[in-house]
Amino acid sequence: MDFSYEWHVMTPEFSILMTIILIGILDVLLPKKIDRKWFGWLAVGGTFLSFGLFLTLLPLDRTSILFDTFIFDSFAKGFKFILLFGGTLLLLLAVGSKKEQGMEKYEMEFYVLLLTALFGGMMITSSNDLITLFIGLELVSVSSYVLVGMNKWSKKTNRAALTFLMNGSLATAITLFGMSYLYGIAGTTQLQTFLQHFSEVSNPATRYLYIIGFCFLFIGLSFKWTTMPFSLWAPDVYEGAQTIVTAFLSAFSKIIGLIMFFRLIFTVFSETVLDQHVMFSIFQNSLLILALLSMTFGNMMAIGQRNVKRLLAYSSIAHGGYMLAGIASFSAHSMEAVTYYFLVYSLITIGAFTIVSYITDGNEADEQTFTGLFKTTPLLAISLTIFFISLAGLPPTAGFIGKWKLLISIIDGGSPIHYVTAIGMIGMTIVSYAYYFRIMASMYFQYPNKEEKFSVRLPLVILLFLCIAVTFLIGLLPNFGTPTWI
Amino acid sequence: MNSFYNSYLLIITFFIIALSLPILSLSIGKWLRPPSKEGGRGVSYESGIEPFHDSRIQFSPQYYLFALLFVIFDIEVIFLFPWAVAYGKLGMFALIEMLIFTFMLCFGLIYAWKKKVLEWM
Amino acid sequence: MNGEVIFFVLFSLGAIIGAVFVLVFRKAVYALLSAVLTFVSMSGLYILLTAEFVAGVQLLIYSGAITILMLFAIMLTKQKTGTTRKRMIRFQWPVIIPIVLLMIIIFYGIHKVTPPRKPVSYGKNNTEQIGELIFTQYMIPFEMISVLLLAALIGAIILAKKENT
Repeated sequence: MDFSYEWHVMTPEFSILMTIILIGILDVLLPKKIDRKWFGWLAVGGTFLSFGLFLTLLPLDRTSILFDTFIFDSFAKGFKFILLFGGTLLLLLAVGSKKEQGMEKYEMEFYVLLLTALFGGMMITSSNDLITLFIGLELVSVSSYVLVGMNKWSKKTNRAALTFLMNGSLATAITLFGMSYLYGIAGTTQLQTFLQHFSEVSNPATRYLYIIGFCFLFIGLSFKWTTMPFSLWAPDVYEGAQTIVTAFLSAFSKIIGLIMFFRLIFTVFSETVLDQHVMFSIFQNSLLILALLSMTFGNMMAIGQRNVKRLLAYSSIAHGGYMLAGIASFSAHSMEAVTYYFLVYSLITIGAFTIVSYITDGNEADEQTFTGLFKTTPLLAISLTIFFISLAGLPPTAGFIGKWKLLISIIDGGSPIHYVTAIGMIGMTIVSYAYYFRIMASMYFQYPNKEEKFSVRLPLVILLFLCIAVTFLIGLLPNFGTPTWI
Repeated sequence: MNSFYNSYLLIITFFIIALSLPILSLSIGKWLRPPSKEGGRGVSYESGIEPFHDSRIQFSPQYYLFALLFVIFDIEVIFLFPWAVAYGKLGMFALIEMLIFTFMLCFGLIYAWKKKVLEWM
Repeated sequence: MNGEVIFFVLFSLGAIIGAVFVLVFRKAVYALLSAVLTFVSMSGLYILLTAEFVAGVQLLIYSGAITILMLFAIMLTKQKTGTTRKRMIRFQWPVIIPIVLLMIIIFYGIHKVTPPRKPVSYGKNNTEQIGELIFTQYMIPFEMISVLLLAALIGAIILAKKENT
């Protein structure tokens, strides 16, 4: 066995791993008295290093290690960029925001788990093998279970963690069941071989089983990206978890689930001419219907919410629906549109949750807290407005361009159900204005309940600045977000 | 193929013997002993202290933590088996892989130690 | 009817009956013991498929470690004699409809497929082959598992540790 592969394409992952080990060892070795706040900066440094190494790798062509268990292709480049960017922002948010009562003890664990999730996500983006995909997914899941339940002193958090764990393990079981079908038919875990096998299958019964396998896989994975069959956990968990963790779930773990599904779909369906096949179109149509349902459900439920975290949870279900529709359209533009939307979505979600975590400061994220925010802290009010406008998909922000691209890619699908989905998406976007504008109106036109100024912390300012700048930059120059290497 | 299954015949025989041992010994005992109608037979320890509490008590969560650690290290050991069996064919590189693997888990152990999880309170 | 079929029927019956009893039993310890029956029967099925290593893992991890873990979890709970799942019963029966539907859908698929009759080498050195695969082709997922286990360990300690404060 020869092991002289091009290992250097894994250096971004290695540097994340090294940071995990370094933080862990430092925590074990250092005496108890020393403050561990700077671990966060160490973690940020690790992601910066990883980002730098990643940038040096960009000129490479498709590189594969060990029978495609790790590949570095344009897909990996695009999504790794998004993940590293989002991960850095999340770490900045974690460094900047105030920890909840009793959490100071678990400084190291918090960052290690966040980095582990980032590591898992990065492995998912560049793996072409079911086993690596699954273990990457488990890395993300296990760390998010723990992150959600970390604040174990709060009853609400405990309930959220239990809900999350129960739903999550059920979803994992279903995913694995689907994978076992796929493996059982194809006899391989490599997606490339899989693709060949899939295009050669002539027996309709085998294809039927394939579709069953994919359906199970899809249902299990939909837990991660909170669309229709597995979305009901989201509001409770988002509400119960700490706001940083909510941002992580909504912007990061969601994207990772979608990336995994996209990788599978992208590899297995891209080169096969299956559009004529009945089972395939049933599969595609049911995906679109589920996307449509999630949009409707998420937006309709969000209108009645008074808790901002719950509201954002339902809005996140709706956004999951938009992205799923983009993926399920399987058109020529879907890759570009979905990549763009992932980037925009993770940016603005992290931005919005930053402000929520800032204002609520560990308390209940009730809408009352936001009334008259413009009068007390105009900076935060304006930033939140920008993020909400972007989430609602209005110009001149990146959210508008993102939705525009998704719409075009959906319409490009060309069948009646695609048109219905596109119309539904426009309608639901208009519905979503109702709740975004309600909060904005109460921020600007009402008087605050209590005169309380929010002091501004440095990491959060950097974070907000980054989010807003990129939102406008890629909103005004849409092609800036899709460089040539994607 | 058949020789593979036949090698399990021994295990099946063993299984049947193991299963029949308690059944046989208990039923033989039942046949041989004289029937008794006194209530004292049901007590767990005949000439000792009378049981006054339910047998089901609430455990300390510490047991659970030990069980969790046990599961995690059990899974690690599972991975050691194929490595040890295939070691002759694998060579140096697999040794390094295994060292990395064990290093991560050893770090976990040290972490647990440092957090005073292994101390019995 | 040869021995293979007899044992297949025995083991699969054991697995199914165990799984059904998990749902039926009201007492958590009984349910757990019937889950052990399922686990053991499944390891028997693995042996029938000549996957000896997987069978061993199944016995060690599932009927050994996981069962003990769950037993501890049950012992941790505050006992309340007479707590039954009565409140669930109202919702239990309609669940059968989607389950049966799902079974029909899957059965329809499996029933029609004739698996390719490839000559499969029945592994004498099952464990060795798995070892070779793990440490050559699948070494990246293998190393990822160590990170996964580490994260699980840290998580277990965070969540289950009793705080003095």
